[in-house]
Amino acid sequence: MFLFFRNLLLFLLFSGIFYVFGTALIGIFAPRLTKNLNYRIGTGGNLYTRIRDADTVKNVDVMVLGSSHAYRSFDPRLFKKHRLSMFNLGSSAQSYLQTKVMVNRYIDQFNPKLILLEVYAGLLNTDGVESSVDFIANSPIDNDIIKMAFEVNHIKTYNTLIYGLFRQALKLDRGYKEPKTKSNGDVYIPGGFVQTYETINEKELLSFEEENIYRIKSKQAAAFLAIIQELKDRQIPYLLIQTPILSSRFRSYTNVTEIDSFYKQYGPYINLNHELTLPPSSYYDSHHLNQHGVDTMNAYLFKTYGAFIEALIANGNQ
Amino acid sequence: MLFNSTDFLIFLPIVFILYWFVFNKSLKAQNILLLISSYYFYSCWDWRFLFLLAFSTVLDFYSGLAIFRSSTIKQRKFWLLLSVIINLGFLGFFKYYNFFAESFAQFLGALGLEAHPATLSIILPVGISFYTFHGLSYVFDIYNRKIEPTTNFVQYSLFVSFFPLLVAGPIERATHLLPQVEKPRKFNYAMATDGLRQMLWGFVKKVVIADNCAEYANLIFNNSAEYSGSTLVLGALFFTFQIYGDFSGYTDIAIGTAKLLGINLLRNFAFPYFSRDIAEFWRRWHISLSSWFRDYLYIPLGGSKGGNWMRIRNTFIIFLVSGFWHGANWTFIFWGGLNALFMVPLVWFKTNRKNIETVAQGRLLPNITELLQMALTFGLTVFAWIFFRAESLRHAFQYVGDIFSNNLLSRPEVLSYSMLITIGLITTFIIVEWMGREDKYAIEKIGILWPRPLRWSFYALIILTIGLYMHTEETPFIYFQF
Repeated sequence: MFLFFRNLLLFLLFSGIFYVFGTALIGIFAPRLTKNLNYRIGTGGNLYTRIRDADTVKNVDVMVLGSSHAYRSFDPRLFKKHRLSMFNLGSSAQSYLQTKVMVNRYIDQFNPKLILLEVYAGLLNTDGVESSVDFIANSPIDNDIIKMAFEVNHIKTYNTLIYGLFRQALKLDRGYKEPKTKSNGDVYIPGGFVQTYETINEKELLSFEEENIYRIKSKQAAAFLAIIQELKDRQIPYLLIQTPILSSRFRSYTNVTEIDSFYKQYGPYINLNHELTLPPSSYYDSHHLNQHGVDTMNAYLFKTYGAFIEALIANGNQ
Repeated sequence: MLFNSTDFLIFLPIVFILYWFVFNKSLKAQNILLLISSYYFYSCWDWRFLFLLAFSTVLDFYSGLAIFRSSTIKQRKFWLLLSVIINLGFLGFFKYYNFFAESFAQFLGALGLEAHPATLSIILPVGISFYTFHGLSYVFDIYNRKIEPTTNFVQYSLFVSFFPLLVAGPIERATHLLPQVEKPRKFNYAMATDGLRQMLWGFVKKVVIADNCAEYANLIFNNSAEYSGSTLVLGALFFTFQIYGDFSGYTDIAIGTAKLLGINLLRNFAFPYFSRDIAEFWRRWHISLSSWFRDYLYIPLGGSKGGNWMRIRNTFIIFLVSGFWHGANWTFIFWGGLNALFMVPLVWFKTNRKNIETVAQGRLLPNITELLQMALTFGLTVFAWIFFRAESLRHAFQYVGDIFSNNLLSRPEVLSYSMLITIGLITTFIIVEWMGREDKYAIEKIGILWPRPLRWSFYALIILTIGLYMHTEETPFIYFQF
């Protein structure tokens, strides 16, 4: 029996080491041959550039957090016209588990007067895997990212983390430079925003007749509450906001009221989908605005809520 | 609790440590521990059905004793019938009530009569078909005087509900498992490591092969009307490997788990896709069920005795019943019938026991004849699986019809990079299975004589393969629904 346990422990140790080096080797020599290792540096969302850009910025008026809805909606150039400096820390499919990482990493450095937390309802139902591998590949891996990977608790995240740590230790991404303009028409704008003039294709314009439901994963809800608590503890004013999605898509969801009620409990909340119906020409796809939509939305935001935003900055959430 | 879940990864080591370190001095304590663990394991699905399991256990335990103590044949028959009727009654109610109610209404509808049968929203208790058959085999064996009943209720309960086999078999026999439960068990290093090896291969089958194949099989079967014939063939092939990986993977994990606890379970699979005829396939696929039907249905019906027509009748009976055992759907019955039909020439010409030995025994490769025989048998099996997987008979026939009417030779529409990776995994899997086809499971002896670092590297490579290629959603085993 002793022999069994001794050998089992030795084997587990051996296979653990084998796993780490095996994953690293596969990642280096045949990354496309795997299903559960997804190290994609410089992919859509420009997180690589955004992080490097953010590291050079200090003291902003407004810090934006959230998913692609955030970085495709809030344009720092338009905020500047209203005499507000802003940095957009949104990233693709960023769930609240990853938003926590952003908060921990940048809140002291940015020292924001207001946080705009983009709260697309779909984020409550994501497992956070897509964004976790985006963070691992495009951001320096620190303790917060390792902690986030364990919270996501997914084999794809673990494998990518192992490989990412390997690349970081060997400085394999040292010479990488992400292009500012992507082949799909995306242009990175300093301050974290991604600009596009592309318009939604006809296929996506098809009506969304199915009845969709937003669901809430307890893990994401807990991470959201932790973020809110952190902001409250630090007495930083915040505004929860849902940016517009294609109206036919929005109408396909049957429990919007429930989601609105959920968010309203935790602070000032605006769902622009109820207030702003934009034509399809304002959309990049059924989820995201293009620059025409961004211009309209930001103008509407400042016209309707400009005074409220100023009051929030001046007086906080009280 | 699924074998491929984190819960099981915690549950099994706890049971293992308590079993060998805390309760190892007393057989009774070990058995009680396993019994409690088994009931806990089962309750993770639905604790309410524990009562059904307990009732079935009590019924068969006392029926067995009553049969044994009966002094007249009439009394023996009475107790046997009581056990059979109640056991099959529960099985019939939970598994087949709605099927019969709906089929009856459809039949009346076909006659022009309208009927609205009272269907019930019945939850099927996990593993009911399996533990019912455990219990029945016990009372049958006592009735047939093959065994004497045990007087130890804990031991009998453990025989019925031992957690590795409780929900999807192998369907054990009292003659095989009860003696092991009754005897003190000593930790056996070779048996335990063999168990771990078999579990490892079972996980590969389940999470790498079956679950990845399921993704494509589901996609194609659920939207079959939209696809070309070549894609539909691909869908049937994916399901063929899905069901094998899923069920034999489950079995390997079950047998491996039992070995860790010092118990040997019956073999359930013996590389069925390397069979040279359908009879051989059925000697290698779900062996514990096939042999159950052989012993308790086929042989009592007369078995191979009598003329050709008699043997063909018996063959159809066991295959139709076996199909129906799988589920309350005409697709399963048709699947059973189809397999019986494939058996007809073999039964008629008495060649059904021609291929007993493993194919290409002692050789690396099969000869041309063996290869053609295997290809034909595999093709028939794939064809039959279409009926097993389809939602309804109409869907199955539509699926088969579309294979031949929609661009059979065109490039499959669903072919993608990740699908090619899955096909690569299946190919590697087939090669490893072929290499180990003369053993109890594919990697039983592969590398066993290699130096330790090399051998461990081989197992670590398998773990790495699981980590890099496993399907990432926990998927229940197919046979849990039966």
